[in-house]
Amino acid sequence: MNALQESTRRARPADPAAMEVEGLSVDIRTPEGVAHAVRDVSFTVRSGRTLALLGESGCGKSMTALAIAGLLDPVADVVGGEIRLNGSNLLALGAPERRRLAGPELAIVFQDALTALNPVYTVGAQLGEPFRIHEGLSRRAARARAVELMERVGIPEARSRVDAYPHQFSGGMRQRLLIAMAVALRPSVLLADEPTTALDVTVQAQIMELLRDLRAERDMALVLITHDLAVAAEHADHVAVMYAGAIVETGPIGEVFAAPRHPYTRGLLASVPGGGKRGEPLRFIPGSPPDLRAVPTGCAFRTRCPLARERCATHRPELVENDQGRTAACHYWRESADA
Amino acid sequence: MSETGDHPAPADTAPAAAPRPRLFALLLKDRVACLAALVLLAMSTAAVVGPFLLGDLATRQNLHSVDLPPFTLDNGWAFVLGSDSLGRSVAARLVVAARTTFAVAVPAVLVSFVVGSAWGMWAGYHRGWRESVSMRIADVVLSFPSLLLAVVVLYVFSPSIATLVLVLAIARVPVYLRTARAESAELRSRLFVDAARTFGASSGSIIRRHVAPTVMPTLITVATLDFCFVMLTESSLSFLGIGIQPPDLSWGLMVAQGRQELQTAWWIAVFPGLAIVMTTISATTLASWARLATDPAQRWRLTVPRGRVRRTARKAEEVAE
Amino acid sequence: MPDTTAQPAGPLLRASGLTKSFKVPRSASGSTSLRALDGVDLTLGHGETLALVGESGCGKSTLARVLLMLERPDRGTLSFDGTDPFSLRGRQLLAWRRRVQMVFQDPFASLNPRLNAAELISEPWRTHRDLVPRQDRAARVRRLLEMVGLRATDAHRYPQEFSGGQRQRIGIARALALDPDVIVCDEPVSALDLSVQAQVLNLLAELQADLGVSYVFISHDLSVVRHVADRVAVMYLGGVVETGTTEEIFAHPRHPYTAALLSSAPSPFGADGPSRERILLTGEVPSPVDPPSGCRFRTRCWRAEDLCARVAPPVEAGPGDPAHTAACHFPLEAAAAGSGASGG
Repeated sequence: MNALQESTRRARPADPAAMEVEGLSVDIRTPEGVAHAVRDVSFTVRSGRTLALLGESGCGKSMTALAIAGLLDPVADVVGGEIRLNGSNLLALGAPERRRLAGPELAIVFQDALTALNPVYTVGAQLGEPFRIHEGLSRRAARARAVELMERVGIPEARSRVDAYPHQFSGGMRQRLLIAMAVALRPSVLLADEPTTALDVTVQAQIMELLRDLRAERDMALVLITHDLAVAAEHADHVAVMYAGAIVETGPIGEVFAAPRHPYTRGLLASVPGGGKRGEPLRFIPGSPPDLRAVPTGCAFRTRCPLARERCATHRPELVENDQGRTAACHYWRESADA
Repeated sequence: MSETGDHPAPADTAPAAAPRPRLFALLLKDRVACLAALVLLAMSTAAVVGPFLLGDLATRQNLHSVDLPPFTLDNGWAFVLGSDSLGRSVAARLVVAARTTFAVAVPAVLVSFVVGSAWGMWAGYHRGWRESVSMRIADVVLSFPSLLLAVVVLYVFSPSIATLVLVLAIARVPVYLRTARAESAELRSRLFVDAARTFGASSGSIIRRHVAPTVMPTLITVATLDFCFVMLTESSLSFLGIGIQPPDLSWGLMVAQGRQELQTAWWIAVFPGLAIVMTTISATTLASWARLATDPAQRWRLTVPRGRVRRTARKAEEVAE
Repeated sequence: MPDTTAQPAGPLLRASGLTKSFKVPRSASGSTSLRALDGVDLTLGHGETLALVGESGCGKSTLARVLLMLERPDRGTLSFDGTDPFSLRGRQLLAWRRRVQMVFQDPFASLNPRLNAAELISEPWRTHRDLVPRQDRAARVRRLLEMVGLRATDAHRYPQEFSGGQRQRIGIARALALDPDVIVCDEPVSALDLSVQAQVLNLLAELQADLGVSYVFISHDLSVVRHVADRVAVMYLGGVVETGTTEEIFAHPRHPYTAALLSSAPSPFGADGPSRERILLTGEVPSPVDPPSGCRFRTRCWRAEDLCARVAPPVEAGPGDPAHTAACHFPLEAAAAGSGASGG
């Protein structure tokens, strides 16, 4: 059991862990070698709470979600770790058993609702599909449940629109439909991969409210995968910051954003516009994320880190718990915190 | 000035990239494409040089050597592929026929390619009535069975290589027209075309600089497939007696002439047929290689050993996020 | 080349009543018209950054295309440094096009993948041959690459070999190739990571300081807008609903839509979470094919009354800054605007 799980267990003994990921690693085969897209990632999500998996593009957050959902591309392999959901390790299960869990236990909502919905089936048919597969409902009964779901997620005139096609809905509505499909069978864990990135900001606010309500109502654990610090700040309870395939910092989001401990988190927060004075150049992290086929030895962030020293090249920092519920993977986090 | 922040790490140390990777070097790396190129080169050489060297041999009748079977050197190297009903060397005729076959197929394909593509790109880019009218014309031409069209035209104007080329070209223009129009219409709404319009580029220069290079690979692939079709059409026409007229010789004509003796002397028809097939396959293979080699975005596929391509991803980033 | 030392009087660009409709096909009954722009007024000064803010369907992309002279407005006038560019033809129009250029949103799609960086940047000169003689082009390309923070050796590489931020820099270099007075930036950083976004924004600011170029900056990200813009124009369903300086708009929004936008935008600072008072608009943006009568925003406005359905609201300034205008019958006044919301 790693430091994170230890600390969270002590901090909140009452909240049950809906899902625990431990030591997850995913490799991708490319013509020029193996890319380590996810490197020894561990985190816990609790019922009724939201964990934000935060990071920029290429950090491995989507790969992690896909690995959990069992939707990895054939060129990617899970090469280690466990995903414990409801007592069983997902990675040890065969495909049929995993399929049984998809829907009632675990569901995923993607970013682009238009391509995630089948354009040749009505939304009623698609929303009813989980019920027909998992609960064996008849077509009529499934359709009735579909209408209920549509009303629950706030689609107006659900009864008359249940036979419409996805392209007849606006972007925000389609995203609601995707969410409806995902929560149909009341999963314990919902993965939302950039659910609002493609939406207007007012619609984004509505969708996040909907997710919040659903989470409370069904005591769901929500994993919010995003690159948007603002969305994470407003809608998550805990955050796990990812960089180059690994988690570099975790903790309650308010605390982490107020006083970040990992230099990468600090750098990210410093580059958000609006933090400094208007007209001043924005701060940024020099360099760019490493090629996942050639991750720097030791700490992956050292090539861009202002605090990098010899030890950073030889010893990969572990996620060390340094406070109630907060961890950081940095040898010199104390200096980072004081600076 | 500002810091160069976001360079991908390994590329920082790469030397300034050579302006364009040598196409020839790329070709040498791909064995199959190399083989295809060699075959085509051999065929072309035969077409150009053959008649000078073997012209005599192709027409010399020798009634003592009628219908000799192939694959034996007993009768001399001239008859290594057998002889036909008039004792003429099939091998020599094959080589000589290459010239006429190519002399018909290549210009026909070239003419229809150039005319059809240019017309199609223009129609697709401008849309509106230009597009509609062009498409209707294409529909009309396509609805005529090309063979029938050829028969009618060639019957009226006596068959010669020139009329043959013309008829074949006209019949095939719509194929390029439609493909070019479709791709051009799609490209028109792409952002980089918009960008070109913002600095006032005229439609002509946009078509030249942006549309044509992007559409070319598809059209070239169509052209190589069409090459086969044209060769076969010419063969049918020769068979019907309105294509290549003796004493001219083409592979199609050889197939037609050998048809009656398929049971007894199969080699007279089969070898020219094989020649057509081999040329087509080589042309298609080379075109599919060229399609990748000339597209900077796809060129990487040629540097990966075959078989590994399917199992790997271009970059981790393509699969992640 | 604009003279940054002595600013000429009057704005660089003034748009008045710009209206543009498109025909869209309807199912069986032929086509109907979609009003993308409905009487848009705005001004842009020298060396200034004007932000266009709005959600999908508000018309900001169409407005950008009109400013770039890619579309001709049905009605309204555009005055650019005293001249109406739409009255020009042929060679004169071509020469005029140099003065307004664009940086596009998608750094990949806006660059032809078959051309390398040098070819992409120098393409404008092939249309405007007299601007840069052939022998000088390579040197100019190198200078432009350096100006945007790339290296001279990058000239021969293709878009796929660059990261998103670098591709955007190439797009900026291309936009600068003709020495424009105005650059329209259409969501230039929304496809980029946070750190890269910061670099590109810094670059744009530097270029403005050095070259005196003006920007029309289209963005949906209000924190970016707040950082870069001098003035803001908020658009909704084809019309400008509020205009003013950045400080004014963010501190005292007068139009209800602006207030709703500002309150829906999340911020990483002061992560108040659900406790923050937020205006949640009901419903979605009406279709631009069939906009509401009177005030376009009334169907989602919590302050709407009968008047709003009958009469389109005039654009008026408030008691404060005369340059801060809003199109509303019942604008939020400074006292109430601080909290951003009022009752139903």
